[in-house]
Amino acid sequence: MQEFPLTKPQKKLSMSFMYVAFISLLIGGLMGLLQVLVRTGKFTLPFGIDYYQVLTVHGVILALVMTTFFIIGFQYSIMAKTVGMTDKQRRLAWLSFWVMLAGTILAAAMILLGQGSVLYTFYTPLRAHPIFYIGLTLVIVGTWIAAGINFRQLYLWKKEHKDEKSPLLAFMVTINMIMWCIATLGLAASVLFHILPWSLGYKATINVLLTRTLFWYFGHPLVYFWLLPAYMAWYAILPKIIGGKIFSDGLARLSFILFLMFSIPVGFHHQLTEPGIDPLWKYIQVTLTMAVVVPTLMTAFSLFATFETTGRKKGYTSLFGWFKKLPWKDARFFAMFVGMLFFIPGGIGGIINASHQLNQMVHNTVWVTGHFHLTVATAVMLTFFAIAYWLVPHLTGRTLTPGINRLGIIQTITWGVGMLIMSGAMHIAGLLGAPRRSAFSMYDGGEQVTTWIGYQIMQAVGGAILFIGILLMVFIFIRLAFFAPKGEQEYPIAEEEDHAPPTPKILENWKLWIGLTAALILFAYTIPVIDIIQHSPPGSEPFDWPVGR
Amino acid sequence: MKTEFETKQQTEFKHGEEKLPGTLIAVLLLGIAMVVSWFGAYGLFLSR
Repeated sequence: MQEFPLTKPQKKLSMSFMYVAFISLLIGGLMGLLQVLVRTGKFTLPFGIDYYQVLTVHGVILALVMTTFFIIGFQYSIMAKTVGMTDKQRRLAWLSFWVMLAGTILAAAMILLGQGSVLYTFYTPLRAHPIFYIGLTLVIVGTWIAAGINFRQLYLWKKEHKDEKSPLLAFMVTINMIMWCIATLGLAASVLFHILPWSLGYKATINVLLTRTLFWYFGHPLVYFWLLPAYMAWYAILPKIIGGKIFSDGLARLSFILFLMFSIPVGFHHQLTEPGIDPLWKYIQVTLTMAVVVPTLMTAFSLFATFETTGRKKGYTSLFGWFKKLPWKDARFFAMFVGMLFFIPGGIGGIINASHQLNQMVHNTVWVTGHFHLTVATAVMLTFFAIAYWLVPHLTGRTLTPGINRLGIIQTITWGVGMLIMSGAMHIAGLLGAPRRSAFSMYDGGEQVTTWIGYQIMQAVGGAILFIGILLMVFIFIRLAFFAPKGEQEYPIAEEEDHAPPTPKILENWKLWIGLTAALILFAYTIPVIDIIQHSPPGSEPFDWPVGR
Repeated sequence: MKTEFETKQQTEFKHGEEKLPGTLIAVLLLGIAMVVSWFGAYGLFLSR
């Protein structure tokens, strides 16, 4: 397999994204700590800082900024490594960085000025300052530039390598960015045609259900935009780290295609309790949601098979002997593995959330918060940390020393313990009815409320441990970026087995898969959206209180 | 730092001939965990 060594300017580019990602991690983590402390009822925010302002910073900076910067920077490195990056593309990539950064600063400024406490979902009729929306739009525009560059990179490589299949990682990046582009169209339509004119005062009212529907058209694939880069590492980097080969190139590609097809036409499963959407279309989208279980289980199968195949090739013949001999002392593997482990209850919780009846039990409760802290804040985040352990020193011309590796293991354990306590408490409190997205309240002495308090204190304990984990991770990042010994850290890309069967060509038939994706989206959304536009109640005027501007 | 499997002995291996009993058991356990959790939550839903 041909690989392109990353040049110094290319490394600098990806590293710039990493700086923003890890600064965001620190700020977002601190906000998370403040939230769990407030929710104990024993701590009040100083200087009149509003809880919802803190909550908005936490959501926006971690769910949107940290993840997006890490992903785009990581993907640039993948594409440059596997299919190459021209100087022109690199210069344009800097434009994407600056546009995203400018957008982030604008949105952050509005939140810090108390002009955008609308949470990261920015549900209408809560209204933020127009600059908040413009900032978020710029972040998205920056990612579109990145997507265009990535598509061009693969296109040029294919032109040079006719009849060859594209490198697996480059294929995966392309799928992720196609999905992202399709998904963000909904967000762009919502912000540019509805929310922004309304926020600026050009439109008096807004169709609340339509903007929420457009948000979740984007919001669910957003989850997969976080997850697919983690899957890239699980499928195509982890085997190299454990000394094995890719279990099946074709299976990996097929699972990514299925994620592309089934991650978008499913947004209604976030809106199951909302009136105004025909139950039939909720049912159809729930059914499509359950289809995502297929590529998820394919991934689980593939990972177990990678572990076992590698172990058996090394001579371990007992039923689980191969498992014991995995490189548990390697932080690049260990952090990823713990992330996978947490993804099991995370994924199961997702199936429960998306089941219509069961959703009524957990909807808008802190169970949901517990759920996505298992998926994005553990499975994805620990995988990103695992990537950082080799990517950051590779980009800075340094090495992962045994000492930093040991810190990485401690970081992973800290994160796992903290999350087990915090997310576990959130799940239980959610089942007892504790609401999400809310500051501490005794709700005028409601009897049920007393059953939540102990779990809220547990959340603070878990959250405090997680914050220690964040400090540790930022310390590791600084060490790897500036102080680790100079050297060459490997960029681990796994290869296929020598006797691997050829990957079916149809898996790279982009027209087919994008066409099917578009057809599924049109099928799942056209009629209900027309219905929402035609039959919605009168639009809503903006609300700047209790949260907003 | 140990980064790879310790090698007992290299064994001859061809694609498509793997026997992966550990993988089979692991994915079956995963499936059971999914079904048990879902029905657990469903039982809670029915009881409310």
